[in-house]
Amino acid sequence: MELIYAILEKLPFAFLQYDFMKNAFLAVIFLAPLFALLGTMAVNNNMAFFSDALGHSALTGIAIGMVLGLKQPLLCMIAFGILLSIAITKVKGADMLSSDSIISVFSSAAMALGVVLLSQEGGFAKYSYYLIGDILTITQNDLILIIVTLIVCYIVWILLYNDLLLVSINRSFAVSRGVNVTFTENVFVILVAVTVMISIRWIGILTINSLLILPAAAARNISVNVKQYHCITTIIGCISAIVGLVLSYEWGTSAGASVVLVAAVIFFVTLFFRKK
Amino acid sequence: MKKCSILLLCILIMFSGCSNQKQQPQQQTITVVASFYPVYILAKNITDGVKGVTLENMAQPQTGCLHDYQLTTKDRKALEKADLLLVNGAGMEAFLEGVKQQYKQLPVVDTSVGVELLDTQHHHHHHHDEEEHSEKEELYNGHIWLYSENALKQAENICSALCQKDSKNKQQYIKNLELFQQDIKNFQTQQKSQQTQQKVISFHEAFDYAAEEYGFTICAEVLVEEEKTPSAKELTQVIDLAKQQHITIFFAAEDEGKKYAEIIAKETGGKVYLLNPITTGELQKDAYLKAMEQNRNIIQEAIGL
Repeated sequence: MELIYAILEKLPFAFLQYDFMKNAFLAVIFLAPLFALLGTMAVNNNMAFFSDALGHSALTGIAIGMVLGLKQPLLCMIAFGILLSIAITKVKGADMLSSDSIISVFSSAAMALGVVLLSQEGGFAKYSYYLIGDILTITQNDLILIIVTLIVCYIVWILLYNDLLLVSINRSFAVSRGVNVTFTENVFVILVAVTVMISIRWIGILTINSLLILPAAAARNISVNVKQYHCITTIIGCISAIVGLVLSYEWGTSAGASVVLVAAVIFFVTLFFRKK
Repeated sequence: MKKCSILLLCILIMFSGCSNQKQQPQQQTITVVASFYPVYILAKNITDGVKGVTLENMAQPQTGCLHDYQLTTKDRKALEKADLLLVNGAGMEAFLEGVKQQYKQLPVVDTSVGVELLDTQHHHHHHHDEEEHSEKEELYNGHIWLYSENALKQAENICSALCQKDSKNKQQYIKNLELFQQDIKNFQTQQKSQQTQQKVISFHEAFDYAAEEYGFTICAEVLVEEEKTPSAKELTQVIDLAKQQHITIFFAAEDEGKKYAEIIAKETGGKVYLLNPITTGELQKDAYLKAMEQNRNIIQEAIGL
C-alpha cells in the first residue's frame, strides 16, 4: 500500500498528498473498469432501467438491515439486491408484462418498503446521505473489497463471456446453441447487484446508475466491434472518473455527481462522432 | 341497501363508543409532550413524582437531531391529545410552524427563551428574547442543552409553564426544579476551575456549547448535514490547519461525522474522541447529568486536565 501511495505522490495532482484523496483516487480507478464491464452488457441487454431499480432497492436493504439491528447493512443490501434481481428476471422470463413495467413494479414496491421501514421512526432524513454518497470516506479495507469484486467480476466475465453475448443478441438463438439462458442471466444480474450494493455508499443511489450506463452508451456510439466497445467503455469510465474527481476537488462538489456529469458530456460529444 | 345502512349504523356506534371511552380519563390528567429527547429528559426532572401528569416524548429516541424531521402518524396522535407541547426552540424544530398552524389550541412552550444562543458560523453571543422569534432562528445553533447553564434555564422555563398549566401541583414542580438546580450546581462546581484554552476540531454543531462549558477552543468545524457532506477541499483545508496549529484533538459524535474525523485523524496523527450530543438515550431523568458527566470525563482525558 505504501508503495502505491508513493507512486501516486509522483503524479501531477496537488490533492494526492492527502491519504484520503489517494484512497478516493484509487477507488474511482478500480470502480471505473468494474462499472464499464457490467455497463456494456447492461446497455446491450436493454437493462438500464433494471440497474436503476437495483440502486433504489439499496434503500430497502439498508432499512431491513436497520430493522434487524445490524450496524453495517451491507450484507443485507447485497442479499436484498440479489433477491430482487432474481425475482425481476424470473417474472420477466414469464412474459406477462413488458419488462419496463415489471421492473417499475418491483422498483416502486422495494422503494416504498424501504421508505416505510426507515420512516417508521421518523428518521428518514438520517439516511439521505445514501442518496448522494461520498467517495471521500473510503478506507483501505473498502479498497480491498472493490479490488476483490473487480477480480471476481473479470473471472466470471471471462468464463461466461460467450454465453452472455449470445443471450444479449437473441434468447432463442442462445437456447438453440445449448446455452443455459436462465443461469447466465441470473449470474449477470447477481454481479450487477453485488457491485451496485457495494459501491452505493460512495457513489449514491441517485447517481450510481448513470455511472453504469453512460460510459457504455458513449462507447456504443463510436465503437465498431465488441472488443473496441469494451476497451472504449473502460477508457471513458476511467477518464470521467479521474476528471470528475479532480473537478469535485476544485469545485468542492459531490464526487459521484461530478463523475457522472463528465461522463454525460463525453456521451454528448460521442453523439457527433457516431458510427453508422 | 338495508344491509348497507345497518353496517353504517354499526360503524357509527362503534366509533362513538370509542371516543366516549377516550375522553373520560383525559379530564383528570394533563398530557405534556416533549418535542425530542433532551427536552424530554429535562422535563422528566420537573414532572418526577407528580401525580396526574403524563410526559411523552414525541420523536422516537433513535431519531437524533431534528433538522429534517417529519412528523409520523404516531407523533400526530401524541399531539392530538396533548395539553402542552414543550419544544427546544432556537430553530431546532423545523416542523414547528406546521404544528402551530394545525393545532392552534395547543400551547407551545419554547424552552430556549432567555438562553444565550451561539451563531451557527461564528461564536458570537446573542441574547434570546421572546420578541426575537423570526426567520433568523436558522442562524443560531440550537443545541443549547449541552451547556449546563442553558439546560438549567430550559428546566426553569419548563417548570414555570407547568406551574401555570397545572397550578395545583405547583409546589411539587418548584421542589423538583430546586433539586435539579442543586444537581446542576454540583456538576458545575466540580469543573468550573478547570477552564482551558486547548484547541480542538469539532465534527458536530452541538459541541459549540460544550466548548462554552469547558472553555476549549474550536478552531474548525466539519459538519455533516443531511443534504451536504464535507467536500474534499474543506477536508484538506482542515487537515492543513490541524497540521499547522498542531491540533490533535478531534471531537465527534457516533454518527456520519465520525468517518470524517477518522480520516482527518489518520492524516494528521491526532485522536478522535467520541462525545455524546445527548440527542438519544435512555428515557430517564438522570440521563442528562449522566451523559454530561461522561462527556466531561472524555473531554478531561482529551485535553489533559
